[in-house]
Amino acid sequence: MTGKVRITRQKRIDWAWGYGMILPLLAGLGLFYFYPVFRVFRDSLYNVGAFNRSSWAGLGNFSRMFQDSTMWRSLGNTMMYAVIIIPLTVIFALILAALLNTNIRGRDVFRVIYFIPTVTMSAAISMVWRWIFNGDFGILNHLVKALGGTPQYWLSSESTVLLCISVVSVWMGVGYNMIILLAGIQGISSTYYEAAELEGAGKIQQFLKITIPLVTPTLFFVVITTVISTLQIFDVIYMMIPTKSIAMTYAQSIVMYFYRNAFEYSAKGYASAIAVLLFVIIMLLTLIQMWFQKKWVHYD
Amino acid sequence: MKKLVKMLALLLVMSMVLGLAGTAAAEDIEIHYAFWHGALEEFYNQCKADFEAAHPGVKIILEPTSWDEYWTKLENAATGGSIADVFHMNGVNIKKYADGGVLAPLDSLIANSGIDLNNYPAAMNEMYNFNGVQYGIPMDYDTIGLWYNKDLFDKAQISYPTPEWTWDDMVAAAKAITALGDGIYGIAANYEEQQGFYNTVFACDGWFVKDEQFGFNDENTRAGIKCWVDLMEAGVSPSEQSLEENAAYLQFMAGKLGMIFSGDWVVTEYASPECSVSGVIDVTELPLMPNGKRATVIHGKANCISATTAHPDEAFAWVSYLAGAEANEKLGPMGVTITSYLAYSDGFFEKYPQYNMKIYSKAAAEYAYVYPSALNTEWTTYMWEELVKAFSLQISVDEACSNIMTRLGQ
Amino acid sequence: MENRLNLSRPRKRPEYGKAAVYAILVLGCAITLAPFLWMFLTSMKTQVEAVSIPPSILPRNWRLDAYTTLPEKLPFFRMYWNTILTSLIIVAGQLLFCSLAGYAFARIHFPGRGFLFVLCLSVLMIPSSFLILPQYLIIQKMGLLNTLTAIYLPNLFSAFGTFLMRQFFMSIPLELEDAARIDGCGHGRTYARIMLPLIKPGLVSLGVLTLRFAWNSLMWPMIVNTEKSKMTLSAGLSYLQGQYITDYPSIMAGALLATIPLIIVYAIFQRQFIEGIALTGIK
Repeated sequence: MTGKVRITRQKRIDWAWGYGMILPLLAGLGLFYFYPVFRVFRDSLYNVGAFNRSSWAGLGNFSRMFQDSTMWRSLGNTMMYAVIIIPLTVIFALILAALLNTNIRGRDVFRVIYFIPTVTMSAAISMVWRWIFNGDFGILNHLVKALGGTPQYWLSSESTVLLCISVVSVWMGVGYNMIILLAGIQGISSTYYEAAELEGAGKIQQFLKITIPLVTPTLFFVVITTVISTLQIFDVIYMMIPTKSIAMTYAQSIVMYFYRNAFEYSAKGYASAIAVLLFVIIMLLTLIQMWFQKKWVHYD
Repeated sequence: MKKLVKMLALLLVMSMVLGLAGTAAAEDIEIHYAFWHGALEEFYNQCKADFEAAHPGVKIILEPTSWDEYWTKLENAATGGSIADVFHMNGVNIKKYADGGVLAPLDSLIANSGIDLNNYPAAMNEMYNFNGVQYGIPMDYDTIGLWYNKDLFDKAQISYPTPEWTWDDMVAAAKAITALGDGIYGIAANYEEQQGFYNTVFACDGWFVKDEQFGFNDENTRAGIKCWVDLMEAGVSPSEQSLEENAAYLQFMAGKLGMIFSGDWVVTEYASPECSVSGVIDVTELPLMPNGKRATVIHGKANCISATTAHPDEAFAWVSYLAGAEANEKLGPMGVTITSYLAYSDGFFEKYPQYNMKIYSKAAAEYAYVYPSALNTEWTTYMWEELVKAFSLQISVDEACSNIMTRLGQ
Repeated sequence: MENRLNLSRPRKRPEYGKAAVYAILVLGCAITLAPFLWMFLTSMKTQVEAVSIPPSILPRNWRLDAYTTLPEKLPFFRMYWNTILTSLIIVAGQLLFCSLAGYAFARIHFPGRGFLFVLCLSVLMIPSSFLILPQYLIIQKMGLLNTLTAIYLPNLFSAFGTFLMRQFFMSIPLELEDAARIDGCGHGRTYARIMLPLIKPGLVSLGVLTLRFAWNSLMWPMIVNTEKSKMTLSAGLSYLQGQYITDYPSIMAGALLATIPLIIVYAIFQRQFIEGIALTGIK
């Protein structure tokens, strides 16, 4: 009898500790994450104009969205970013990680250098790239001219602007993912490689047959995080392309278009509808990847 | 490790306290003043010192913002109720803000004060009057002139622009200068509103906005835009892209442009030691259009008061000070902007005797048109998005204008 | 690992392979470092020299003007302080709240634990930019626009951090805790005295990740703060670029100064940074 009471008391203490320790987090998440989710869905059904004056819109924002060619263009651009940035980032990161896993001299120095873009303020480095790409005074065009090519207005031509933004994004993302992949590769037991050596497999074959399959769990993590961050690409575009640029249409991502609607055109209801769309897309892509991972990720 | 937790908690609390301390209110009444014109900051610092000396207990907090961010931020602040007590307003946004109830009506305050609106240009007062209510007191005005690089004219062996010049004379000169080669162009003919096609559209008897109706279907409006795109087609201007990546005034300052339409405010840049051509440039009136008319668009800032300010009297005292003779007498000779207080307008020109700056006040007096604005501010976005395609020679001006009207639903 | 590579040595022709590896790695380094070099060189030029054609690679005269005039254009030191302060608060807040919740989710049994944990995880699914508008409206309602509080407040709480912390707590053998129990330690003491020291790598990992996020974030600070004196460096740079659009040396000087502190911190705690980031992928 007394024992039972004691257990219950202990349980109550446990519960109090448990709830107490998660309370600050839940309160914060509730206010700044759960309520906003509800709020975005609500606002997407309203017209919220200048100075937050709102009126019921029903599905008006969504029907406007489906007819808005700029919105579709931004969505298309975002997909282009995903198609260019994600594979390039992951492939470069994987190659560098594999190279840095060999026992070459100065390995630590390389590792330190490759990581620098990761700790560099993206706003700052975007300004540098913008300067490098400048059509009249940029160093890139100087190099192009010296090599006999034709100089371009890289950041204000519809054909090059998206590529330039992608290059900068890849440049910024490789180091971070390389470090994560390197850790994954180093976690692979050396017995696999020893066995492969005995069978006479070359380095490249080892990379393809052992490293890649065995690093897939880490690779999966890298892919998922890169997909999510690429679909939300904003900083680089904001810092490199002025709002009043011919190329903005060809460069702006869905988040950039969302930002402009929310904070420049003060069409907050419409912006919320765009946010809902983005949410649905990311959700779907994540689910697809989750499902698809069974096909290519090897967990031992 | 317990120490670590304590330290973390302590750090958190301490830094929060520090963060809050920064916002703690002082005893004085604070009047926040938001503005965008960077070069005015020095003037406002002087005004602040004089004003605070004359009004003990009132503190002016200056809040300069870059032009690019000013309007986004002002609107956010207006929505959030954190808008400055007094702030700069321009002709593009006045209707939207007045209609949105953000601005305090000034009529009764003006009536009970020593301010006489006749001291300012009538067009400027008109700009800040919405539905018969005065919402702002003009603080400066700007008109447009034609700047030219004498060196390049000499090299091309042609004579300098005169007030009698027609648009065709200008085109001929632009061609001659472009023929010099070496990356030099006759004129900047990119998409520019105030320092570009606004002026020629008015000179061609075109129009933009009347009672929320738009004039892009008017042949005259289109003619005023086409003349610029023709220059682009003739290749006498750097491309739209080039001028977008490196502003026209900068290329002019680097000696790469023969001519440019510039507002009076740019003279601070042109006369600065950073400008490699400051000794060989001058300014004259805009050229006459084929119909024999000349026009400049006039625009200027005004000071407005927030409808929600906690201290309307102190806010108006600050606005009155800025609108009064004492402040404007100082502002003129500083050479940053042409003060709207007509008696002191010329003060601005005295700082630049080397240039023919008087054409700016002549333009304001003789052929100035009020800067176009509408309640629906989206029209400028549509105008930009469509016309810039015409300026980069992707579509014709007619097509662009029709697109604008379609997007405006007219 | 050494063994493996030693084994391979006699059989291969390492000279070619190694040379190729070096070539690739050095080229990669050049691409990585070139923008920094160009940023530095431009910041040492005058405005006129920066836009000269053809461009000069090295400054004709090395000038510090861009740096000395920067404080006139921007309250740079104030922005440093704002950035450092808000970043530290965000890091401290996340470490505290996430480790508390992570411990509770990993080790304490209480009704609804599973549901609440899944609820927290569901936040991970939500793209952060999705929430920015309502978060802004909340901060606006709270009257916190134009305060430093606005910058850090919503960022003190992280679902990802909680998940990460939980994973670290889970990886610690239960016996250690049981021993503490027998010694009469409550949850508070166990958490603070026994568990936290054991998950130090996890704390470092989350700290590094959060510091990097807080230092770099642009959209949020830019939206909530309009006063220069309350801006962080990222937002300040966007202001600088907007205002002094063609003054490239100043812009480059600003970029350089904004970038350096985190790189210095990184240079000092290089191992912790790299291992911290690496751990997030494994957990």
